[in-house]
Amino acid sequence: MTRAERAAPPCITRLAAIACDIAGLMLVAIAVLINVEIVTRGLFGASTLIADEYSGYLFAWLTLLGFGHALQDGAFLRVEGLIARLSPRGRAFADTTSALVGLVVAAVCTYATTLLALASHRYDTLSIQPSATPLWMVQVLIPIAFAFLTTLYAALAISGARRVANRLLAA
Amino acid sequence: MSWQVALGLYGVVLVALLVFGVGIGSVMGLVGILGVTAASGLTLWPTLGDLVWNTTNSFTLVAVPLFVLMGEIILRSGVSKRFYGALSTLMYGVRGGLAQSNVVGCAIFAAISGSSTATALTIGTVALPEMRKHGYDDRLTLGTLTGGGCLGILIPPSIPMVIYAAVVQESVIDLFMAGVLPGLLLAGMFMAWVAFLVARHPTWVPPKRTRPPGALALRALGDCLPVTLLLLAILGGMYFGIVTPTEAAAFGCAIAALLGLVYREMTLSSFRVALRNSVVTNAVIMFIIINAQILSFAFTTAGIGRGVATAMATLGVAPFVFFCILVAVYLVLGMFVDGISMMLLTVPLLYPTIQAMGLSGVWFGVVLVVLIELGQLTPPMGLNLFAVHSIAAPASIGAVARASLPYALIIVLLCFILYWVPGIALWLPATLKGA
Repeated sequence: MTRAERAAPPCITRLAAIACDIAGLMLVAIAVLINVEIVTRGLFGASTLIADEYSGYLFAWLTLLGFGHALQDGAFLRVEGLIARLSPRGRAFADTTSALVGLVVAAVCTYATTLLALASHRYDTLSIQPSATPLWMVQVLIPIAFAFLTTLYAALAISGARRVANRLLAA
Repeated sequence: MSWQVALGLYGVVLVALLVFGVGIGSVMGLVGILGVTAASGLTLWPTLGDLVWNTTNSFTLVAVPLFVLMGEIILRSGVSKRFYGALSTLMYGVRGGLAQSNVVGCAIFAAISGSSTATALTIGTVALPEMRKHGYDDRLTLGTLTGGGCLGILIPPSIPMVIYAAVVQESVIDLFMAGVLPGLLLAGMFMAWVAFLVARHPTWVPPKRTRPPGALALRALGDCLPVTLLLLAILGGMYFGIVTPTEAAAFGCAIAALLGLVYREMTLSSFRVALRNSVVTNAVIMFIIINAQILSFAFTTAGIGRGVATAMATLGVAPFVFFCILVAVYLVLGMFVDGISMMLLTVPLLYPTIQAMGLSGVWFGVVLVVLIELGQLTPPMGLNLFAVHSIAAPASIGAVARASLPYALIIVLLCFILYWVPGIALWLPATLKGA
């Protein structure tokens, strides 16, 4: 079990795993869509007209859906050189700081992408591709995914703060 | 705030938080948000939403998870073991043939799998016991695995090149083609070094093997064919303009899945693991890319990129001196930071200078990837060293590092060769345009 998994409630952990599996299916969908485009173009000289556009949307979703599970897996990269040498208390403090920084960034991204989706809805912005897809419909998942990431970082920060407090009390 | 003060402040906060173990993507994002806020208050925050959307909705970057998935499927389909076994059979006539097989096998396999660390592990797991059994010395074997694994990100398809292209708006195909000759040259230099070691230390390798029976050689050729065809289909498709890099990646996934089915080693559960790993790897890369774009936006609003370029021009720094500084900076950075983060941290700062000095962006992309390879071999954080060490017991990490050192020096040498003869990288993309 990773540190993040211990920190987050089980329902959130499960949700992150489900989101990751859905993202995996989206990746398969992208591969299928693009291969259909290649075959259609190669054999019939025609285009689906949506392969580039919809694989882009699917890519955006699968990226965002993968963030939660990546964080829980401890997969996000960090420079480990110094923290490996820290005391358990120092390490807990570093983990908390890291979670707080992630929390701030994810929260700002949630706010900014919410504004983006709201603006697209308000102005009824359509994609410039032949499908003329209303953009808010594909953008709305992004702030939701960032909000989920913010929640996970918050759980991580709380867990880290508890570890720091426990170490201080034990000292 | 002048760009010099901004650069100093951003640099200090970045380094302090990175050293303190804060996630690389988060640090970039935080410094970017603080920088944008310091320059324009909250006015530009809505623009961050556009940045996130434009980055995640990029068709060029769709190639990243697809190439990762292709590699994951290939790694789980049993192709690697067959390919390595076939190569070692075909190299029977070469003294130290298994060591040369490591270099060739790792180079081709890392190119397809997209992960030098996974390749070093996969090939190493098969190669190490086999080579020890035949009496190969670890001082020869370990370096061929760590060094060979590095070749993959230079030989297309290359994920760092896709990311570089997306960030600086260069052509992915040009970059892929530009990586071919330097990749082959580096593989040749590694093989020459192995041959030199074998000649100098004949006791490190067993005597030449006998010629394999015809049927075995034929079967070995058959086992080499799928990987070769996959690579040719991807590169040929792009070179002749049949498919875009992203389409080539999707096509590669389809072929890899087909190979997995043919070899019957790919199960539904291993496919699920391949999908999950691809999603997580993509998420890790994209989290850094999104935040690097925010940081880059902060650099732009503070005028840092332009300022550095103007300062370099005013100071009259000779291109060669600038290049030496670059190599030194990346050598140090590569010791502590992973390759893609290193690239995304520095490119927004350096790219305007590269352009101002009249250097080619495609050439710089290739050099950058070569320097990322170097980072895989330099302690204390050289990932390939750890990967091979984990499967090479009882060899110490020091022994792995010592065996890898000559390969790191050869990579540095290649950097300078590329500086003196940029045509090695730029010739193939030029022929593409000519065609």
